[in-house]
Amino acid sequence: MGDMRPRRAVLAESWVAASVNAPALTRDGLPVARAVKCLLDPLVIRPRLRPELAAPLLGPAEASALTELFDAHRTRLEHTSDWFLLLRAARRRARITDGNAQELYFPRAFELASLHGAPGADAADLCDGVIAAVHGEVSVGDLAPLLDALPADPFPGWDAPGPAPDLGTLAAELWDLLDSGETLEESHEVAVWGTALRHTPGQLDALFTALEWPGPVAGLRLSAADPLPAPPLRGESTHALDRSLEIRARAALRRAREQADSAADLLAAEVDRALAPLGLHDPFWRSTFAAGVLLAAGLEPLAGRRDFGPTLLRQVQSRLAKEAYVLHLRRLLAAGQAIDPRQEKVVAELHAFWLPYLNRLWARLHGLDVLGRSPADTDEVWDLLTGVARSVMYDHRQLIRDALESAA
Amino acid sequence: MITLALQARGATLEWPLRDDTLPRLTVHDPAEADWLHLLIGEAAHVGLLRGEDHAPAWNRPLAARLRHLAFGHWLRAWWPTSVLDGVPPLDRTLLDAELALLTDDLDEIMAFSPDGEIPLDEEALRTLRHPLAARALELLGVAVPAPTVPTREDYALVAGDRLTPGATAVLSGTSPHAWAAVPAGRIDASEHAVAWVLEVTDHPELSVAVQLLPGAQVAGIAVRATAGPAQAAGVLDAAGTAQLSLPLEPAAAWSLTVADVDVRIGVDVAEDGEERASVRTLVAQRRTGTPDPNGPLYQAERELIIEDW
Repeated sequence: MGDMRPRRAVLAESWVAASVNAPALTRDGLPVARAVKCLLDPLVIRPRLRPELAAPLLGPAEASALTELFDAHRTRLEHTSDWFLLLRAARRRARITDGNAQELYFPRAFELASLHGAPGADAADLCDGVIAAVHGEVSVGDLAPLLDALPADPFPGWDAPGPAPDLGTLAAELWDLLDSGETLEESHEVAVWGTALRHTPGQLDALFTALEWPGPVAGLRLSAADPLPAPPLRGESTHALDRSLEIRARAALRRAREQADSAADLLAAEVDRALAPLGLHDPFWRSTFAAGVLLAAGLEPLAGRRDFGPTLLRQVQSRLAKEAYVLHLRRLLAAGQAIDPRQEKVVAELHAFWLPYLNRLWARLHGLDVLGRSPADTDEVWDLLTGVARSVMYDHRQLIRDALESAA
Repeated sequence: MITLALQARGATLEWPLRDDTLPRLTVHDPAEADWLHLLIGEAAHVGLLRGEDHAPAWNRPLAARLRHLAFGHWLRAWWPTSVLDGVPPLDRTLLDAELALLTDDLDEIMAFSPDGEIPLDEEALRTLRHPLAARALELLGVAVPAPTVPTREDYALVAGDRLTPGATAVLSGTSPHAWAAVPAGRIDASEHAVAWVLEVTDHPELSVAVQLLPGAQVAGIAVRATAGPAQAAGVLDAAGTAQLSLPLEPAAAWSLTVADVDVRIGVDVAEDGEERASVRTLVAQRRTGTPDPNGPLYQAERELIIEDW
């Protein structure tokens, strides 16, 4: 085992060994970080197919496998590099500066290289089309009449009585998922609990009581009402599970726009999905959401170290606390408080971290559910739970900074 | 202890401002921090991933570049601009342009990190007459114009009206303020930026006036005052002033001395005046070319020398 090496170092050497000439993907001859994350990993290496190549430490066999893989994709990667430069030129023509060009266009360039090979005479037009598609708005005009045409009660039997969940078992399962994270198993209790939220009040607090820990943070809610009502047809919502059918369908439309689903089929599918426990079909995403509820109940970025709870909670909390500390070092916050009166609203939001966290988590899981994806293992679940915390923190950092700079 | 910090992908690096040390490294997510071998060597990176102890083989030049970048982030917040002390402001656009370019050079480590995106102001860059501006605009992916307009706004750093003690004044003075307690770039960094006058008519009143930096908004920032046994609190108005009524008998107010009066601005934080002094010394020494562990001068610092600060 002595010859295991960090993945990134191995990947760089394999790339060089395959002598791929793709300058737009590299710097100093090595693939740039965004090329690895947005292109090589998801589209070439594809860890789901080749989990052995996704490990943080790789040996000589994996190094050769990577070289072979890059070698097999050499032509396509070289064309990807050409397409990327054309996409970037099209971006300039369109005077777009939103988002990161590499993150947005590396996957698109690979797609173009796969479909068309080397850029030809029509390349500039194709690129203008891709740029318009990436940055354009999805048309949802035909959704409105469909929503109007729904029956008065689109969710019959929403709050029909059902069995009570075994909260002790549920709490133990979720704790394990966040603690040892060894195996990912389908949970019957999560589904029962998700349904019980709709017919019996107090199920959320009952779950927290079943956990023996010093949390949870005050005020955590999944819905403005208890028991959980059926989602409204339209409108904006505050809590994760109150998201309206319209918003769910729009999100599904964005996800599925490259598939040929009609808006009517899509809305019917969303009504059906909303009826599933926690509004998700995939049992593993349900468990992820339930575990996320537990995690959110322990997160308090401005509270410094909170040494309790399962492993993942302690990891995420210590990371958030570090982020808040850096905000202090940068004079964006002072000792965990607003440093300017204009920041008070966003700082209050940081204290209720669970709210944006659960909203964002549910939306992310909903998107994956729409695509029919399912997590491969607990690592994927942990990455997702951590990634959402990070995204929410980045958003807040920007809001904290904006509040200061608008006043400067 | 003044600390520099840099949030790289999956890890945070910290250094004490004045000490020439290797970074304190906190790894939040070993899988994300897939660049660590570049900084601590492959053996230590492997050891870390396996949960085994392994002495890092530091790449010192890389550590120095990361520290220089962290120092740029620090400068953004802590540069001691002061009318009263005669310290001109750094050109923020120029500093951000350089930070963005340095960050891009360290893309392998900084991509997908909280400090990986330096927000750039395209309009401001277009009017900045400096070679870095064109490179930063290139980074934004926009066509680079020939610069025409002169670079900096004329920062008219002129001291505003200080409080003039009137006939009813019994005592006046100034108080230092904690920099960490107020947003950067609003209040003059001098130890004497907070001036106060104690006036006694029917009842004692403390007038506070804070020396503001040009264009700064300070309305709503807290003011707390102690005068002998009395305490009062309020907030600054848009002009940086506040009137605080002191719950004191006039006779008691007459017997106060300057040492009895303390005025604090902003959030309640502990900050040592010596730390502020050391920051002033550090930035002045860098200006005169004294080497320090935070790396070469930023262009925004250099520009102040050219302008003969």
